Amino acid sequence: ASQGENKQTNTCPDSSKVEEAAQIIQHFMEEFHMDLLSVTQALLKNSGEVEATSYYLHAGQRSDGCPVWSREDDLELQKDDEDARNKLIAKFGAENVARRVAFRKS
Amino acid sequence: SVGTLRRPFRTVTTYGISVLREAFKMLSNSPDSDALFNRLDERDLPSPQQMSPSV
Repeated sequence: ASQGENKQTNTCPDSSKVEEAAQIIQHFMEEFHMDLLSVTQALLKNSGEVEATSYYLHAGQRSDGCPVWSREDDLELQKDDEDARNKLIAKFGAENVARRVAFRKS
Repeated sequence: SVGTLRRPFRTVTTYGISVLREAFKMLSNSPDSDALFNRLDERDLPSPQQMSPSV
């Protein structure tokens, strides 16, 4: 049923990008006094956007006023259903939905 | 000089989920960091007030 996850491409990420991301995670852990799990999950739910995650951890909300992504939203995103997609666009905006799709496939 | 160049009005730095997964595995001490990462992905983010500080 959930074919969306299967469409992910299993490319090996660039090691310099991985190191860069690890440094940012560590920086957030120090800046916000949070553990690895909390910071990583915040990045996951903000579609891997560094500035948006930083703002969220600082302010408790996103700067664009949209909510962070939930598991249910991600499951809806996987459906090949126009109604579901339109509801997500109404909730997050077309740009955020497009970013989420790219993030899930990356 | 290059060091004093201003950034564009809006920079967006984004990491894909596979990069985040590898970065997490690099930093995690868990023997099953892959499964741990999947659990983080499958669970909802607690409100910022509920997010536990590391100290």
